[in-house]
Amino acid sequence: MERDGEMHSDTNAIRTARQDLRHRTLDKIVTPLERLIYLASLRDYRSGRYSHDGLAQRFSEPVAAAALRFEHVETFRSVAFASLQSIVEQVGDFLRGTDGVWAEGLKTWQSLEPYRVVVPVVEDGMAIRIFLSNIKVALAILATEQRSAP
Amino acid sequence: MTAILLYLAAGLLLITGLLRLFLGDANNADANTEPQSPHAFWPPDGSAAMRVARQLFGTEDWEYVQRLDSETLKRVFLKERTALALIWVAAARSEARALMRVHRTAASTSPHLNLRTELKIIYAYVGFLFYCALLEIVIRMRGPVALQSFVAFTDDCSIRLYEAVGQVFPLGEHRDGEWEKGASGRGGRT
Repeated sequence: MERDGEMHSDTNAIRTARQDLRHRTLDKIVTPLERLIYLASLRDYRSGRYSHDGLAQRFSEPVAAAALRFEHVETFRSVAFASLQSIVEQVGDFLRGTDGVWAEGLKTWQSLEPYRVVVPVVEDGMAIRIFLSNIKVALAILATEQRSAP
Repeated sequence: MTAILLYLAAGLLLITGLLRLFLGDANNADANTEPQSPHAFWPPDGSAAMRVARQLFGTEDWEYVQRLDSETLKRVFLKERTALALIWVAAARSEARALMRVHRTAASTSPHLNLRTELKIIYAYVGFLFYCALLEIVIRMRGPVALQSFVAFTDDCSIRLYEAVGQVFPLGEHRDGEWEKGASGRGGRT
């Protein structure tokens, strides 16, 4: 009974932390792809744990980590299952954001495939495959557009 | 007792397998829920499976690529989507095989075998494998675009298989709610 109460309280705290994260940060990031990259950057490369000082201060480290994990998975899926056209636009916007190095960014994304690191740890199967495949096709489309641009 | 446990295992495998196969890969979390596992993100209304099917076998992305008017891009797109679609079919087949393995183990130790039910299961399984094979051939020949109806039909075959296996599941023993939950979730996926 007591354990149920704790779980309920954790659930509420995580929900509130997610709302806080969206309100303060995520809503200000325009595209889902950029949100995805931002959320993935909050994950430690070695342990895979998420950390966000502000969120951890307002709630607690475990609650902040859980909120970030859920937001990461949700954002990932919204990108993975977006239409190809939307993904092309999002990748294009993201790469164009790097002032003056658009062509270089495109080349880097095609050769090094840095987008692979934005996949959430808990994700598996078709979502990852669809995501990676869509980004690959999107990059091919952008590269073709770039070549044919005057 | 052993048979009951095996059937329970079959039921759990079925639920887990279906979540992984059809729901484990698509859709958004409900903002009002805080699941403890990634699979708990998926709503049980079948919308996730529909999104996967729409993405892989729908026409929206293909129409977009066609508008780009580049043969190279069309080839790249079709190659990627064909590979994904074949993986999807292989995963569906693999889950059904796993279910049948568990069922066979359970049936081999059960003293209450019903020949008619077993034949129904075999019929459903063979039918499902047949449509999977057919789907695979069609995907290889013409790509996965605009195959949503075929995929839905194949998925109906898998529903029949799971329902047939569900008939020998001991509904009245311990886990009524659990099985019914799984069964209704499966039935509404596509």
